[in-house]
Amino acid sequence: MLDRCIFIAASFLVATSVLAEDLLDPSVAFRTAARLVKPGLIEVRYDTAPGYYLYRDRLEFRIEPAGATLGKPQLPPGKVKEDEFFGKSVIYRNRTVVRIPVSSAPAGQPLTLIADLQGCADLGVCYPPVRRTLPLAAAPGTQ
Amino acid sequence: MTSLRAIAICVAVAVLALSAGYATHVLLADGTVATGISDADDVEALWKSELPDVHGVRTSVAHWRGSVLVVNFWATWCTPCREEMPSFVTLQSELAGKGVQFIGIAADQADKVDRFAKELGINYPLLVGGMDVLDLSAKLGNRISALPFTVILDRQGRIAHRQLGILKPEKLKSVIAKLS
Repeated sequence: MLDRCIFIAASFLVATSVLAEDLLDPSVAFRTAARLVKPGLIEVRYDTAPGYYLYRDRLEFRIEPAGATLGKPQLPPGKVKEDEFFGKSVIYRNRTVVRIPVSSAPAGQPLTLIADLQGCADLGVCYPPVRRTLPLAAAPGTQ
Repeated sequence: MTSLRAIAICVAVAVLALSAGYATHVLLADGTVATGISDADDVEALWKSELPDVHGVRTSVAHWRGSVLVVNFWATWCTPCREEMPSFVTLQSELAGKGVQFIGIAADQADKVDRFAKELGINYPLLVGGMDVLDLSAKLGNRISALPFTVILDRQGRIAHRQLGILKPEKLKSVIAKLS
């Protein structure tokens, strides 16, 4: 019986401790990955932790090296967030996939996507803009 | 007897567990985000800081030493920052006579800060430092460099309170009441 009681009490403790979980480091709150899904098309995947969100208008992209160019990013619709000061903003939660056309780099050089993002936590804090440097693995059958 | 002891231990552990949970809940319900803060206390880094205002005029934070100083790190891209600032405007007017001084340190661009300050009628000094001011806030305990982050310093220049997330007027007043 004692074992069972302690188990139940400990479960309470664990359950309530979850509420106090640390605010996440932005690299964990806004996990970002990118790859070439096929020649000429980049897929950027944002895995945003529960309770966190990204602003659509603050996603920006740049490609390296010079000579390669990005097309218009295909941004999913997202959800509208109303704010007294900012007005309406579109935000992304959970998994978000953005596809971006890309021209190949000169002389088959490897491509690197530079992705800027900015997001906040529902607890009432915002993270500063963050820059991710994402080397793009070649799609199968490409160099 | 063994069974009674077991029940007593069980109740004690359960009370402890629930108390821990309740304390946590109070912290969050109060709007206080207690997590994400470290006990970094390099307050001298703040007193040695010299930052420009929106017109480029550099001011040393030490200029305000001796006041109860409320230092608010913020940015125009931070919604909760913009949400809490009107209450700072009100409290600055209300508490100025008691030797309480607010200053804002923005991780932002001067023109954006200037526009926002005019829009909101900010009545306390705003300094602008770009993203490097987040390093300063980290030295004061802002472990994850999120905003808003506010530090309240006593008249001796020591940190009396750190707040990550919105600092509600009631909380701010209760901290200041102990320092005035």
